[in-house]
Amino acid sequence: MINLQKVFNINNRKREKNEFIFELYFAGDTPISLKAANNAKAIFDRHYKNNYALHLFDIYKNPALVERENIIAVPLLVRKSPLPEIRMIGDFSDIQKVKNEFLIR
Amino acid sequence: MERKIQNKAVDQKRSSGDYKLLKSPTGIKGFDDITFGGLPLNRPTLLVGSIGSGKTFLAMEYIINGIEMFNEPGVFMTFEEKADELLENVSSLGYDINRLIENNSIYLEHLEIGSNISKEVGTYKIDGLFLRLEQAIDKVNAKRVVLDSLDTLFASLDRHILRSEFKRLFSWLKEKKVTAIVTAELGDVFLTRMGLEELIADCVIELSNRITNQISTRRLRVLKFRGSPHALNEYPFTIDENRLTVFPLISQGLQQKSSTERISSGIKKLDEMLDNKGFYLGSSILVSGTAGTGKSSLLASFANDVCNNNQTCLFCAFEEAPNQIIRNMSSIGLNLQPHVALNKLQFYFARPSLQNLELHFMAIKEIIKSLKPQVIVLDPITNLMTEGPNSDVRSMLTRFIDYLKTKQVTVMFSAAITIGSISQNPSDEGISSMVDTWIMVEDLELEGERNRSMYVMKSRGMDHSKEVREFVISSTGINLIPIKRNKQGILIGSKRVAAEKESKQNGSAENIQHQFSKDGDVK
Repeated sequence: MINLQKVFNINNRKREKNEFIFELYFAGDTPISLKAANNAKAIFDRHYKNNYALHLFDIYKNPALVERENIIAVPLLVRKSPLPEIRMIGDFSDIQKVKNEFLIR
Repeated sequence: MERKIQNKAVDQKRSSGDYKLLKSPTGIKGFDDITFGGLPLNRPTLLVGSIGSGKTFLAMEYIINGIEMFNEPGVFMTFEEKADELLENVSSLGYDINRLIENNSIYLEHLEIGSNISKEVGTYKIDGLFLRLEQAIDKVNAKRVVLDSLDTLFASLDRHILRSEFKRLFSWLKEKKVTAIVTAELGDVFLTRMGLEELIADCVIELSNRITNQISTRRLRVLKFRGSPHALNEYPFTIDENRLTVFPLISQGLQQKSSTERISSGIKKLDEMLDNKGFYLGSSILVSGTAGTGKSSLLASFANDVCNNNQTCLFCAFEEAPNQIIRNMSSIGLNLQPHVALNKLQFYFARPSLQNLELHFMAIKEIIKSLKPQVIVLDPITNLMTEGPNSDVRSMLTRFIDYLKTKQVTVMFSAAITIGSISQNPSDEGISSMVDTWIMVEDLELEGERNRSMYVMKSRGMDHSKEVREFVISSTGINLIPIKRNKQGILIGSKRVAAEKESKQNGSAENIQHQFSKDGDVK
């Protein structure tokens, strides 16, 4: 199994500040986690180009996160910026649904 | 080959008795009786019930009793109430929950679902919940876990995914070796709204809150208990200021002792009618009759005599206030006030409609425990009957009488039951079949005058008199006078007084035939 955190942690440092910041919480390097990371990245790459950051967190490696972020179900994708915060769970297989949520046209 | 080895392991386990289903005692009065020991150890139990049926309270009681009685820390995870709200609710019921939290023996956690209402896109896992539960369990080293209630989770998430995830959760809880209570709302089609009963198959308990005649009664039933016998009936239970109590019939009844000792009725003439000795100690006595026949006076006279003999009596009044009883009884020569001052006579006064029957009986039981009275008097029980369906009252009363018998407390109660009312209301007869001695007081109306009469309808285990006596209440107390007759007929009331006067004047009693009327040939 690949280390998701290494592969998918994306922070485009080309710009001073990223307009779109996302956090993806997942539980271990499982097929569902991989699928979710893959799908999220594909959508963001296509629509936000380099103007986004995606931070990945494995809740098993950092259990304190579940309480801080009030996590019940994973994979959980949180849009931290711009506000309002938007939360979405699942493997993001329905790309259209994700786009609708994040108001991507 | 592999299978053989496995079988060997199974055999070994079997012979060493490892297969015994262990129980986790709840410490809830009555509950451990009907489940023969408590909840299945290290397995999840489903607790279903409608809104306000006491699910959260029972679950909380399980956790707190676990800490206080069995030294087992617990985790209470709620999805509904905020932790501090829950804290307030529970401490208002008399638990010092802050101390338990400081002692690290309870861990309360509120999982906010509101902010978690996330859009679902595809499949997911609830590992977040697992992790939080695990952290909570490890924090206090919990043996008992409550999840209250899963419906809230189901409401916001896809139920198909959740069902399989919950299945994983329950087997994970078993692996963790904790005994869990999972609460859920009652559903329409399935037992629970989400069909959780299919996932938790070990033990299912149902709570309900039914209203009959405007009085609501909580009930508890063990629907299923895999691998263990359990009582099948619905049992009433109550939640009062501090505890939840289930009332089983089974735990009592069979161990009653039957005393051969006697206790005086307080009226010498009545003792004469009862084998010359009075009632059996620890028996139940019913005094019945219509209004104004002197039932209360009979009860008060019994209570007075008990106190005179330096024993204690509990007087449960459902009709009159204690002060009024004391005043009224002083008019017939019964001075109850000194007994009250010496704490030999204690009153329990409550309006029957104040609360349901169970709470009345529970309050009375509490007094019995501290006061340890030899005699308890209930005046009248017919008032209680208005507060519930008759069958309920009867089963409660049976339970109560059984309880008193195990404690060897003699109970005397009055009821407005007459021969006429039995034919109208057959359940009245049920009450009379519960009692050992039945004394009937009646009105005899004769030539424009009402007079009281009394007879012993039944008295188990003794050769009681069958005669009807005139029952006279005067300022000096209660007297029972054999009914006399002469040529004109029977002499009671003013006729008897007149005849007595006349015979005194004549200096002889020849013209009056003293005769005991036998078996109701009063005419």
